[in-house]
Amino acid sequence: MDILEGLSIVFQLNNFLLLVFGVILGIIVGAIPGLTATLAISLLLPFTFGLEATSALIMLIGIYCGGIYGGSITAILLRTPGTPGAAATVLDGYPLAQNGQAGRALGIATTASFIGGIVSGIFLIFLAPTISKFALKFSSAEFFALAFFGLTIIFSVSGGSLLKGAIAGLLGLLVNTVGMDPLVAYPRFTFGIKSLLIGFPLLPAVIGLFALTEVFSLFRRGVVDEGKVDKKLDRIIPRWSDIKALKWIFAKCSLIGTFIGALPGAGANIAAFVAYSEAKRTSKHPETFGKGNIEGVAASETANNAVTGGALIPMLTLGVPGDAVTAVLLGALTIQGLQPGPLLFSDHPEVVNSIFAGVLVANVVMLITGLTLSTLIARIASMRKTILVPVIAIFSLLGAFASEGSLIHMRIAILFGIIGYILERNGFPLAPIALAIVMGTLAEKNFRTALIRAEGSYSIFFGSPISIFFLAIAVASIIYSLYTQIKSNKAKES
Amino acid sequence: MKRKKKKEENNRAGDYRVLAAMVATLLFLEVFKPLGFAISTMIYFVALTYILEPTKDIKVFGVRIFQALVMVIIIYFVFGVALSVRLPHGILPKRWFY
Repeated sequence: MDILEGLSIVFQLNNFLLLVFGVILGIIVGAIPGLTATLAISLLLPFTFGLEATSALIMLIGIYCGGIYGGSITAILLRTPGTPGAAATVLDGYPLAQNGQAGRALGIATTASFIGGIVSGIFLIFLAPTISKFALKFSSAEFFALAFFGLTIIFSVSGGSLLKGAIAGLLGLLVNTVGMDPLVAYPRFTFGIKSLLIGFPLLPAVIGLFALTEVFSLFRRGVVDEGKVDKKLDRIIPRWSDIKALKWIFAKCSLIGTFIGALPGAGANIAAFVAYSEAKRTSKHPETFGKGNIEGVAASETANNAVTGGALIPMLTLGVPGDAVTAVLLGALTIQGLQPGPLLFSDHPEVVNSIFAGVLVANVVMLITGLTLSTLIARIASMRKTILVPVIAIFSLLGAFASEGSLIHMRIAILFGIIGYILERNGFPLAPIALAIVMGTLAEKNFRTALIRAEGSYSIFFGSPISIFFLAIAVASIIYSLYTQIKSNKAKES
Repeated sequence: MKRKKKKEENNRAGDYRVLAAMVATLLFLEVFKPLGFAISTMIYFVALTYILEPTKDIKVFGVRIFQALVMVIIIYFVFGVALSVRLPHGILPKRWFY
């Protein structure tokens, strides 16, 4: 794996500027409560059409890394986590800010995010090629088992209700069947409408689901005053004594975040809370957690940013996204004509290397930006939404239009936006729809190819240890999700 | 009791805002080609800001129209120039854009 090749691509002037732009945009969007990295990536997808695949992915990786970190700024300064992953940061970050240590909390949050991101990036660089070599042995039966396992992630990202998650996932699979049959090119569910022959394109669907749905939700919330940022802050650059005292927390929580990130369905918020409780358990002063303990900020921020590298491991090597952000990133790869999975490593090593290098450099840019511009970013993020929301709406619609210069794409984006809003308003999660749209074709194509190879015999899916392994963990994943749902229902009842 | 009533009122107002935003979005889609991107985007922008924060202050309205104009110029340069997207000129002369 030639990381130097990746670094040379990332440090080409245009790529580097795109990365810096991506990181800053990601931090700003991440810092704005209610807006997520998924929305930022969805909005910028249309702009990647005119870019080379490497440049596009470098920019999107920048948004991803910046977006996860950005949530911590408003969590500390305004007690409002910009992203769900920063919810644990509020617990100690805001009390520190109230005690006049906002700069110290911001500095440690930025450093922790940097360390978490770098450690997970190193794991990504060393683990991903090995996993991809192993995955090269997969045939259609193994790929179907893998895709089936990927689809069971729907249950893990379902949030409160498994049934609603399953319904949303099935809706995504249904959407995926519209258009030409992937094997015999026969039109399905097009109802004679020619523009449906290509099915529902991913880009307007993603823009509708994640950007327009968010716009409608922001309309529902209305213009809320998020509070004001104090201009005077103490020193943001962290003290060496603080970093030295927190070194074990950085190390431990980086590993926790990377591991949880690599698990499909477990995102930055879970990693942050697990790391936070682990730091509290092993702390010499657990009683000060929640009252302004810097260890709490360090733990949650290290872990939530370590998720980024971890989540990219299954996405790049197996083509399995673990959450909504990686599902959209996976979509970005396919829009660029690249097939995520083991073949990406052999066919497009330059893309893989630039993603690896992009993760490392994005974290360095994030560190510099965070230490120098975080108060400015917090002020931008706390601006009133009267202008911001219409701007997002217009960019979403024109982004959908721009991909093909067609009103149909705009219509699809609006359709998905309205459906997404109605679903979300009624407690249905949206991530399963995106996951099903991305994974559906892989599952269907390989399922049918395998059956053709085996002349209709289902035994082919139980013919290899890899296939059995993935089917077994898929079943285990469903059983575990059902078990936790029943347990939480019982806890609610009692 | 009062708080509950206020919450319900807020919820209802929120639902009306969403409905209005959806209707505005569908209308924007319908007039995007006939009126052209510049005029339709300006109207859409002002409509959305009004739905979010209604005002009768003529000054605020003027500021929003100015913001909408700036928005259209940005969109033209981002989509029309940088991304080479053929944005519909509608009722405005074609030579103004291309």
